[in-house]
Amino acid sequence: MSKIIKNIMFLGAICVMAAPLLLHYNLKKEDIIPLRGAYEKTDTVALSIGSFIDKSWQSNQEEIYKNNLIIKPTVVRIAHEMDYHMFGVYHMNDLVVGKEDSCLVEVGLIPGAVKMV
Amino acid sequence: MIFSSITFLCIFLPAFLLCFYMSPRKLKKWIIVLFSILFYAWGAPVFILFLLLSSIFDFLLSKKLSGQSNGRKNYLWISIVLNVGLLIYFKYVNFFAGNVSSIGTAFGFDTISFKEVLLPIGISFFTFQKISYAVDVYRVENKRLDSFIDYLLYIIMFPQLIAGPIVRFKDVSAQIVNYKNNKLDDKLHGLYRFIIGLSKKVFIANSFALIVAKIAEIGVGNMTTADSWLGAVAYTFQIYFDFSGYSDMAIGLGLMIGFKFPENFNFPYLSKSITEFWQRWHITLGTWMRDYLYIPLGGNKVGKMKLYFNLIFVFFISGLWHGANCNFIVWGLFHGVFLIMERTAVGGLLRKLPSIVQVLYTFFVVVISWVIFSMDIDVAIEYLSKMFEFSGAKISFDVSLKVIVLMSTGVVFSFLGYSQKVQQLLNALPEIVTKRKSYLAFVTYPVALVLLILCVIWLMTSGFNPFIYYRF
Repeated sequence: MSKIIKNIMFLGAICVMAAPLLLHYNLKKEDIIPLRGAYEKTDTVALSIGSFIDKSWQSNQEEIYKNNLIIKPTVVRIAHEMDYHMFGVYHMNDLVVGKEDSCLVEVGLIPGAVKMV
Repeated sequence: MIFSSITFLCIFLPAFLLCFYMSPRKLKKWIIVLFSILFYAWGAPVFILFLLLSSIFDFLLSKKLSGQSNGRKNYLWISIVLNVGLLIYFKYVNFFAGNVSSIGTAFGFDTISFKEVLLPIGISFFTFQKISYAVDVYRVENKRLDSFIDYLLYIIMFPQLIAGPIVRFKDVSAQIVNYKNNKLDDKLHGLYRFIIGLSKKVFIANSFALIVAKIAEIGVGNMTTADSWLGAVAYTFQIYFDFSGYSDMAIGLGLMIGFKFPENFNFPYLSKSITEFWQRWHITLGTWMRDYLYIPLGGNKVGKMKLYFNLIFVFFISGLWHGANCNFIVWGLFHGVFLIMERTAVGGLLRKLPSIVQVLYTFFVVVISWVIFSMDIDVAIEYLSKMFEFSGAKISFDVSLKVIVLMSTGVVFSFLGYSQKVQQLLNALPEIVTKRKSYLAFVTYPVALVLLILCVIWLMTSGFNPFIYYRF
């Protein structure tokens, strides 16, 4: 295999690692349907010597990167779909499970869909 | 910051790798050191100065250890006493003060009040590396490092800084001094190794951890015998995949930046004796103990009683190294006793048994030892009595299919190396994929990427991501 392909492969993996952050700064918030109140926005702690020493800034940053990335709702939906299709597990109590067309539908979305029809 | 966190995986690591590969060769060591300082300061900002200042002192002291300088032995002792002293102060002073206070209270004295000492992350690991450097330079096994950056690189390189592998100076001295750009094949090999380690940690160790947490929730008093066995066996696999996964990630990261760290695990649950178990489990700790404690004590070249004492003493120190708690000491002594037993006639009898029975015996002893390791000694005794009272064969909670599938995968992988041929194939796999049969990379690479994506998804959606060896 040529060196170029190997370099592309390696760089590709780094891009996959950085993808959540790259998407965070390049996607518009409006493009993502938010989760229904499951995750609250984390308040930002300002960086200062004090907040760095007592690790409150680091904890805050970790919280933001874990819970407040723009793609989080999409990632959660993908994870839930995988859990359902691979293991038959669904995570929400108010869920209508439609195995016929292989999709999960939240109860909250049904009235909207009915209105559209 | 642990490797299996979004902050490390999606921000720190890509940023580090980009800076590392874009910088000229002369600056690469500096980049590693700077990012290592940031890595450590992120999790322990108060202690980064302590780590740097103690490293400066050790480096200056090491100049007196090499060559023909007078009083070399005294300087070696100063270095060892200083490093061990700091380790004892940070790691054990709370334990000693707490015990002294309890004993005093029992005899009617007032409780001693003391300010709790915080533990610098990874102190057990970097202290052992500092001692390794001092001893290897003193023994003239390796030339001392002339540059402080090289020394700092050896001590604080972030892949192995907080949870090992414990790299002896002799293992990497040549790699540090003659640092070269690593080969592309090694980079890819390192990447695969990192992803395998991450998957072991995220999918398998965390699945076993879920079971362990559920069992802990039930409480020893309420659990059935089946629960207690499930909990003990689940912890046995959790700690293996947790720690070996972290070691794989560290070795993989090392390869990506041009360092070959020693292996830390080799299918430990396939061991046919506790002696063999310690040649396959946390290999770098075992090697360190052998080179810097067991052999200086006389090793095997002593009388029988002295040999037994040496074994017990080394395992007492191994237990204590894991933490300041009675359970770790008992855990170390428990292993030491079995090691001695295997050197007597019992060992001879054991070797005559079919190999599968030997593996089962070792696995049984190890499961029991992890019970002692994982909880306070009084709870462990209660837990062990629960395991042998046969009070119920029903598990108290439902285990999801997902967890069963992931746990089964873990069990299969733990025993996959039972056949020598399979073990050799698994060990040679990275080389086969990256060097000999490169077309295999077209299969391996997409699988690795899918695993990486799944790990990121799992880490972003799951709030449960414990790491056992972080606190050592």
